[in-house]
Amino acid sequence: MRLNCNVNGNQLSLVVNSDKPLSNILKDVVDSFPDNNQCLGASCGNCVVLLNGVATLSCLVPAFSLNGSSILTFDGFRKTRFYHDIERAYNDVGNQPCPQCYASKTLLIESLLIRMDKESQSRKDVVNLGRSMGFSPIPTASQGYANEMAARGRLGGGSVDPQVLSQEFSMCRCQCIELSELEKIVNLAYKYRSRRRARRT
Amino acid sequence: MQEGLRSPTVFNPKTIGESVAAKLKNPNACFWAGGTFIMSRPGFYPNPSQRDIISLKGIVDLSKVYHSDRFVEVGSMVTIQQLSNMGGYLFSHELNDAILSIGSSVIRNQATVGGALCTSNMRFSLCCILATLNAQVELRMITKSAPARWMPITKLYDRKGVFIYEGEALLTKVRIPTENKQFQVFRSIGLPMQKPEEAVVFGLQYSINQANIMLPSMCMVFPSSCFYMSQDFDNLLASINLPLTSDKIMKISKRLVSELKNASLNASALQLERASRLFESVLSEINTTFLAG
Repeated sequence: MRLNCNVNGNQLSLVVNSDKPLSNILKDVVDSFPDNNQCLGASCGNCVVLLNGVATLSCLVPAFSLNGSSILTFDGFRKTRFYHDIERAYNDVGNQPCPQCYASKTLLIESLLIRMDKESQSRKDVVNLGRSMGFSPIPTASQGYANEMAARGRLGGGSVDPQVLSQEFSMCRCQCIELSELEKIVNLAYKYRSRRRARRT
Repeated sequence: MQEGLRSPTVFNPKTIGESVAAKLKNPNACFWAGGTFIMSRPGFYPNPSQRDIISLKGIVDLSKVYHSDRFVEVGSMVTIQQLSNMGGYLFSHELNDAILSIGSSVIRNQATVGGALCTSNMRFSLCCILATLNAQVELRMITKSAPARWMPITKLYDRKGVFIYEGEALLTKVRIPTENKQFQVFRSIGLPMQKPEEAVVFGLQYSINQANIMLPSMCMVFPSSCFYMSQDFDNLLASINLPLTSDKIMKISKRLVSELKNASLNASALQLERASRLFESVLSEINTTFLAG
């Protein structure tokens, strides 16, 4: 089948088998795509890519579902400004993932940051909607919402819940970096990103 | 392209009727939901005898969610992440935590409710969770008239956990009751996906009225060898008086293990031991809850 997709900003048109996994396609197309995802589908997490902005295991995505999609590998991601927030957080904490899982963990952190952004945005939307409708006790309502989210183990208030973090990284069995350090890294990266956005607006 | 490999034909039906018609025309084609299970099997690619694919992604009806006071009805193509997002508002904390623990968001974003229920011979956490809640499913039979049939989720599997309707029906909707009982317990030990021969998944919901366990509903799953849900055992649980002595707990636990052994000849000793310990700990918790008032 003919596959048209965007890989790291480059529009590609390829002829591939319809059931070929994305990881195999990327190994042919992107020179530096990791070759260490030999888990045979056991979700080792080493082949993570951002598919339309969402972290995805590329070994579980078939070619036929990729038409028109945008794929960002670590190679492409490290050229974006978003990578620098995470890199700075690594430096501040004084630790970073081992070379084996650096790419996958960085992309997982990025996906988590995107989710935190969305959660934060949806909270703001609730507040704005309330204001536009003339409700006065909005701060209380939004606080209640934030507490509810936090109680349900989600992301909220600009910091990541350790429970969510352990679930997100449960597939990475490499213990090169501790969960408490990952928590600090995610929170710092989120802070840097928020500051950057505030400056830009 | 690798030599000798054929590229499977992919059908993209837009309605349930079209997907049934495609399956009737191509009996060897397989339905494709999220693909997480199919693609994670060893030897998926390259595979010279790969079957054709009927992708269900384009069927809008299968991604719909309907919510009433008594139940949530989700299409089979709703992802587990979407289910957990809704669950934050509709389900109990225990249930939502159980859904979140199915996998990381990377997996939950891709795996679908229907896909998780219709894997041929492996049962995962979601089957156990939904069976415990007495969820119902709608099947479209693969015949010319494609009649719809509603049935309890437990009727989909035999005692070994094999999906009975593979190739005979398409799962379209799942109806999850939201009027739940007082207590819910969902536990999973081991890695169901990676080491199915060692993992155990357990679910129980019940209420306590005076000194009795009311309307218990229990499900025990060994991913590759057993799907256990028994009305007799639920009745046994309903007949016991609280508080339980440790002897009584041991006795009920032994009864469960003997029933699990009868249900599944392939269950490993580790799984039986885990099931027994898990059940004992849950009974002890029920005891504590009762004694604490």
